[in-house]
Amino acid sequence: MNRRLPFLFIIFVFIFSLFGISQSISKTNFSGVVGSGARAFGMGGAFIAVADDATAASWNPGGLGQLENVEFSFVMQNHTYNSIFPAKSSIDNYFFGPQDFSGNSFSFDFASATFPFRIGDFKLVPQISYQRNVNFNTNSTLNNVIYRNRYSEPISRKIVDFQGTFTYSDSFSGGFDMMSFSLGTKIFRGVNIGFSTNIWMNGSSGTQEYYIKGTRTYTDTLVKQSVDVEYEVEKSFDISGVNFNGGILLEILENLKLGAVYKSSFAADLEYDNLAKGDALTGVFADIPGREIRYSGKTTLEWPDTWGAGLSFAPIDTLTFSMDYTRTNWSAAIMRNFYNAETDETAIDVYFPTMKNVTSEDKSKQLDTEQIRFGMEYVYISEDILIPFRLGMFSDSQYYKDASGEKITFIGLTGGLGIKWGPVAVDFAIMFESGSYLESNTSYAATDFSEIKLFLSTIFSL
Amino acid sequence: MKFKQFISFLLLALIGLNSNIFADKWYNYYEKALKSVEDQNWSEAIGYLQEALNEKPEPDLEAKTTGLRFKKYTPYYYLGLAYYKQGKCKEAAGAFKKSLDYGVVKNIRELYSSLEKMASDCEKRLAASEQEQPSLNKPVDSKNAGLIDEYISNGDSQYSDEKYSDALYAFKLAKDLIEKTGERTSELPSVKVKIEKIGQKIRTQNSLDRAEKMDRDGKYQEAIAEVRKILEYDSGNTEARRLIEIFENHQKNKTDSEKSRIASEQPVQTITGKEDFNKLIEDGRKLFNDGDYAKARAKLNAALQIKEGNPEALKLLKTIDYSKSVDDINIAVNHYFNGRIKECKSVLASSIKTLSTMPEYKEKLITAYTFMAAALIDEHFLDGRTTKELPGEALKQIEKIYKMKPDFELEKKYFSPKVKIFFDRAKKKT
Repeated sequence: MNRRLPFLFIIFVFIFSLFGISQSISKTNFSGVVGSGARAFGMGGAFIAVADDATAASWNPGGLGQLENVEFSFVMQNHTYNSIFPAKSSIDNYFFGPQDFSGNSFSFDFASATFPFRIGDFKLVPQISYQRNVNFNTNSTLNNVIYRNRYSEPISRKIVDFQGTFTYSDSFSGGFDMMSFSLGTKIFRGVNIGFSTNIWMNGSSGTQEYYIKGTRTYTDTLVKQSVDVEYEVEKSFDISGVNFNGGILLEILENLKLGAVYKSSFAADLEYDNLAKGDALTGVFADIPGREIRYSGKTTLEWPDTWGAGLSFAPIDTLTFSMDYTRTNWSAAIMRNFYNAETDETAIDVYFPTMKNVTSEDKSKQLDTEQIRFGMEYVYISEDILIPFRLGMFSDSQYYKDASGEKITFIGLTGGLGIKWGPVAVDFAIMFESGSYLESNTSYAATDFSEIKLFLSTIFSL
Repeated sequence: MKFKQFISFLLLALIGLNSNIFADKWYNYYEKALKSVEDQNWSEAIGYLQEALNEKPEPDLEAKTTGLRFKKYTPYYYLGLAYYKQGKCKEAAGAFKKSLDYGVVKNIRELYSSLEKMASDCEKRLAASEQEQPSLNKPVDSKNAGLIDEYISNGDSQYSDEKYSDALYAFKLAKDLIEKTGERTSELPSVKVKIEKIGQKIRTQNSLDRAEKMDRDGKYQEAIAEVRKILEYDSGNTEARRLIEIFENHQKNKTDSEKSRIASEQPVQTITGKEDFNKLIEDGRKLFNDGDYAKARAKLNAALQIKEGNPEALKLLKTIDYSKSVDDINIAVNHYFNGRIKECKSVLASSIKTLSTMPEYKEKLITAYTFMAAALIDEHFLDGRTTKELPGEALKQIEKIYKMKPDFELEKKYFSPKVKIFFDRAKKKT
């Protein structure tokens, strides 16, 4: 369910690797892109076989054929996330303290306009939508993490003990947005199909700040030096590309529907630019670049394809149950010709979990993701006012393995409430997702991840 | 490649398979049916309702359509309504019964009360129908009964739209069918009354039209006689009474002017004789006050023969002329607004002639010129001419107006757009 950017993750890991602490900050939760709208998320995201409102195309364009009225939608999202990483240590010479990594963002999520019309008996339902497919709006912090390390200085070969704290913060805005042109229709009795052309655009820009404070001690002379370093990286990146979605929705019975959707893979062009500014260091941080270093380039991001299927059943008109299964081919996702740094002589292909040159071993660590989603919606009707209540849950497998090689799966719970009065529907949904996994063999305990997303949708129909 | 195949499938499905094999959902049919009900297209409504019922046979207080949309689904109520409006009471009663059996309609107050009324009416009609024909064992042909009701309903509708000929035709059809089939005989008396009532309305209208034409032609007596025929069978007809009054005035004016003409041709001596001057003046004033302008004028002229140039007699004569002109203008205006352009012109001509000699009564003269010009313009176009040029004679009248009163403003609310346009043009030209 988490739509955190893999690229952002890459950048995180990359930056930390510069500090020699790449094992310390864990991989973040990222699985795949699904649809949008508070109604759907209130139902656990099990919406492929429902898809009967203005957010239909984002879940299953096949559902568009069900729409009868002109509809407009607008969705906002608030995202609060938190990962508690346990301390990690290797024997004697390394310790990275527990980290409470948290952040928050509030951003636009989705807007659409749908205009059903008929040519004779033949109904066509075009929809234009704009979706923030991957949200980069983040404001994250990591405060005063205890960091100890014993290492050999590169030139003098002297053994040095470093002891201090590490503080991190970032602020990013923007996202991978998608302008979609969709068309749905009913081709047979009870058979709806639809497809979308998605134009991916935009990206993100922001700043990361690092602050390291401590003391290093030469073990032979016991000479101590204080370390007080600030370091800042300005980043921006933009994506462009086109992919297609196709879907079908079968009305098996009046109250039983089956849906299926396919979202194509595509090769997106990605432009990136990094400007690093900070204090030049020697010794323990000798590998930190100089005061101002810029590197930029173009790369290709091979985005994976997704397919999904769903079932919905309404035992009575006011009660609907739904279930979805979605699989995204993340094992094939790769970033081509990526330069880690200006000093790199050749570009590399990067798999998301490894951030290293492609090897069969690394590729094997990257997994396809699967989601199984369940949801229900009950509508209480009072005169002209409708009040829907929604519940849902889902399992969300991750694209990387844990330290023991096991597949990682998070569990999510959702709830929602809405009100529809005349042509206006306002829906609210809350989604809580959590999980834990052994991030590293050097970790003292499992990493606990949790996030809360809030969605607020407005749908206006004529 | 896999994706291309998928897209190809979707496109093929969209383009190739798009024929008449898709069918609407129950709510599509139901929407259409409600629209037909709104348009009072009962046969179409029945068709759509039956399609909707095929899809969804059970009524529902909150039937889900798409998304978060719920609809009150009461197809049997509307089916009953449509049958009822078609006069098919038996079918309507059946549909109403089903609607009540399901019970949904009971929760919708306005529908329920309407259903109860219609159902009760249907029961009465069916009972009446059974009483009329039980011994004959004549099977009820619901088609005829429906048709009769449709004729009656159509007749009522045409009558309320004041389309009397159409209404009469519809009621006559209903009457013929009732008499021919023996169905809906309970409706026959009321249909006959309606036929009589409409027939009378048509006769009255025809008489009024004829009388007005006679009046325009100056055949006032005949016009009055024509209108009096109406009062013979409709004594309270106010329009007839009003017209008789108008026609009588026209007749009186005609008589007065004839008398005046005869009097003015007679030698003064015969009128005055031995009467003295003062008596003549007094009589003249009295006659003037009584509105007998012709006699008053004769008395005053006689007085002037005794005392030539007497200012009092001359002043009274001028007052009489002015009053006569003002009366004539009023008559002319009445002619104008009743479309009697010729009469209007004729009366105004004499008023203008008189008032032209009285500069102190300029305003009245302007009124006379205004109506004269308007009559000329209307006459010009009534003749079918389409020229955009202002008729010369009318222009002369308007020019005179603006000469007398450059800031003259036409009281536009009384005149046709054409008159307004030509006044504006003439004003610019002047």
